[in-house]
Amino acid sequence: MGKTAWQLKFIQGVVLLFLVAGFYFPLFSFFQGDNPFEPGKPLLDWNYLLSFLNDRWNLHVIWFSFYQAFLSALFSILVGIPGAWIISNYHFPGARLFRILSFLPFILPSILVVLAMVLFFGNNGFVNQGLQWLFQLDEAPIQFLYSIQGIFIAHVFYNFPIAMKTIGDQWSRLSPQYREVAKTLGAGKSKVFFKIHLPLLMPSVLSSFVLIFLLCLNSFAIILVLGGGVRYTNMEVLIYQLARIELDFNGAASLACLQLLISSFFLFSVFRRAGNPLKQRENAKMDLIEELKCRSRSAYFSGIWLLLIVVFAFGPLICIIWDSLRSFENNRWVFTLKWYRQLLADDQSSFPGALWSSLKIGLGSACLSSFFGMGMASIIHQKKNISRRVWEVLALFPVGVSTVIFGVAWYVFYQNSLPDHIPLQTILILIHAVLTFPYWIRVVLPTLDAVPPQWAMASRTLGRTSIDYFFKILLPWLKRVLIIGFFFSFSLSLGELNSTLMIADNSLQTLPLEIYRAISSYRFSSASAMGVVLLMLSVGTFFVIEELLQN
Amino acid sequence: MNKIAIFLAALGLNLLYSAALASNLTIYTYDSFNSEWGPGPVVFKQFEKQCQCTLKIVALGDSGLMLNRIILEKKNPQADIFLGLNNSQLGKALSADIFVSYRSPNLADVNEEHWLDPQNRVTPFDYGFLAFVYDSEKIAEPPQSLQDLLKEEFKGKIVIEDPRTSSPGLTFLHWTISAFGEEGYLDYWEKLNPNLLAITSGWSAAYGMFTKGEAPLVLSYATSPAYHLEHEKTDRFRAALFARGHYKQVEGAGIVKGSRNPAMARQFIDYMLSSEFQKEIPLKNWMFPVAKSQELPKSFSLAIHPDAVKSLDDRLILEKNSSWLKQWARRLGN
Repeated sequence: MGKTAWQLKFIQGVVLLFLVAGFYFPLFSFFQGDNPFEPGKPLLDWNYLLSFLNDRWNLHVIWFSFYQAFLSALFSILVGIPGAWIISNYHFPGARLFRILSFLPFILPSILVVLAMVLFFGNNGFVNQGLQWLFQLDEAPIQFLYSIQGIFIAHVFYNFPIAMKTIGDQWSRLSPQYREVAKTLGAGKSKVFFKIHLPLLMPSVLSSFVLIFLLCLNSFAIILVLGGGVRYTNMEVLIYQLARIELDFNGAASLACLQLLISSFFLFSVFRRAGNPLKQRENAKMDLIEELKCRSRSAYFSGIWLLLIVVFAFGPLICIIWDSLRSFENNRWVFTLKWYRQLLADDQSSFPGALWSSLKIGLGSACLSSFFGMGMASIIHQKKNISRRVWEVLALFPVGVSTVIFGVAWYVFYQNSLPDHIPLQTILILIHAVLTFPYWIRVVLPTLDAVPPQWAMASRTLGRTSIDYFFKILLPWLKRVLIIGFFFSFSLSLGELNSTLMIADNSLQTLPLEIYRAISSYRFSSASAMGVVLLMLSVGTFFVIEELLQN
Repeated sequence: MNKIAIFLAALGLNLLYSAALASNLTIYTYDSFNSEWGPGPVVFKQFEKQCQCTLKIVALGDSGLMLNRIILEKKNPQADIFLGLNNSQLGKALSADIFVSYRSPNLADVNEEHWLDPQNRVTPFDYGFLAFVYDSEKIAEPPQSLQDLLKEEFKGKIVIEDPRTSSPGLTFLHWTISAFGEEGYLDYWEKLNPNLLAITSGWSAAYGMFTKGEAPLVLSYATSPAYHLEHEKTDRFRAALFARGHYKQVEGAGIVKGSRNPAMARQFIDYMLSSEFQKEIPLKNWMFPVAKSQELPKSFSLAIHPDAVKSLDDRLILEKNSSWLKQWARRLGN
């Protein structure tokens, strides 16, 4: 890589300072410190862990946590790969909306998404009622919720967009030369995919895999509600039980630590080496409609995949819209706009304020998260071998640690000092940025690693400064993934709840807090209406930002 | 690029501004108590007028979360009052030694059966009963006992909350222990399990599934039907009355140890038992007020007021809860 410019070193230093202060230090000093419930006793208790591990049920829970996370991530990748191929090969009407819409599930608090899935896929949901009506059936024909399939379906619903976007970006840059050469050598289509494309795409497949894996490991509401049974208990449920119901911080922190250790080992063994710089250039995209007219088989396949995904992924979202437009009155459902009127027109409503602060926090933390991501990604990018693997694992910690525990750790560490001096909004922006920058890195890193080193050399030979190289060459090349990373951080911040709950007070409301409040006061449709307004505004924000950044 | 820079600058300025208001009394409570539909906005504003002071309300998550925060702040207490502790958490909270005693003169208007603590570290303000709420258009013969829930006809029709993650769920576990004893409750749960469609993470998910028509029978409160009568003008949703009684949930408030304004905190506890506060409870918190003299609104005709079964002793809960939960998960998970 040659010498690092001092500007870059400065940025890396600042980023590390923030991350250590905002994440690693509070977390590790919490793990190291006293039990807040019994001062004087250390929090982490190895004897607790030993006796925990010496129990068949607990081992089953650990096994199940990793098993379901592994399969959920695998299935999300399998669903995501065709999508990646389609978005990198075809233009189709609504392609942009499709790209944006697949961010949306992240924005909504998980309880809304879970209830939407029940409304759509449930035993009395839309799909079943439709099929029952169509085929005159007495029983619901599709019953996959409340079982392990329910967990997988919900996790794929949430996470396949991560795979689709990360892999899709790399795919669209693979030089067609690879394919052409393979074809000349007589390789068939599947051979080209498995022998040529898949190995070349491996960095992005792996990158999205680890992220989805960690997300599913920390899954909570989906596991409990849609899994439908105590058999499907993961470690996060136990951590929540210990922290919130039993107030046993000792046990909760020990388990969170164990989970972090096991997943770090797993990740460490998964990361092999960085992807090689690739021969690449932008692929020309084909028009899907034209190709359909030409009866191309791949176009038919793409059309069917898109149709299925639109039904599968947007069905539940449409259910939320539908739910927000109805009200149960005098023993029947009536359609009404009253929930929206109450939210937006009522003077008493705290909704507009919450919406505004959520948007501010979302945008602020997405900017900061991009900054953190940039610093951290540039460090990882420069490292080699073992040290690179260590940095990659470290950069995933914020997703790997249970958010319930992180919230507590932050609160314990900073409760006496920070909140009085720094506005709560700024603190939440920092926390959300710390929790979301790993997504940014996972999305951007594969593309960054694939940048041919000749570019930097050529730019230096031509006497350009590294600032020039960064702004004129690197930034335009990364632009698309930067936007994706930014939107992921933005969406996740809008939906973040657990650490916000631990730190917020009444001076600041965020949308997820409002939505939970409505739901716990019987106002389910009002919560849906809030979700819809949030979705609309986010889509709007996406469009505006995309426009700004494109020009 | 310029537009973005201007936008970022504006955002930055906005973030540096923070309004800090001095307040005299800080109250922690759970989120729905202080929602725009809850009693909070009315009763807190009234108290501010009465005491000529300003309140700071922190209302987030459920009472478990707020209890969490209070315990974490033990060295440096931020709250003066914690409002919303329920009887299943009582042992834990008392053992953490976070409250000071105060016997309000207004406690005379509260039936002694609702009193939570002989030392009055926690004062009750409302109570309710756990109950199975059913859709009367889908269930003609509602269950009349815990045993009835085991009937074949309810297979896959019941949604309850997980005792490991939710407070009504935990209270229901205690109910079954109170009814079948420590030696019998797991057998009961084993037979109940096939009838459960889902065991959800919290009340919201369970009740949401019920209102969306996914399951006709849900673990909620005896007062839930009153909500539907008051706001949806329907008596379709009923609470199943169990002849042998229901488990009672009492909610209370305590003055936090280390409160900087104990006199005003005591004044608030008195106010909490006065009619101004108590009259807001039924239609806004959907619970029964503890004050004997408080009349109930019309829609509470649908809220059943059953006999209470014997509550578990809070010291027993403190001692055994963890192992009950462990055994419960092991038995049902296998």
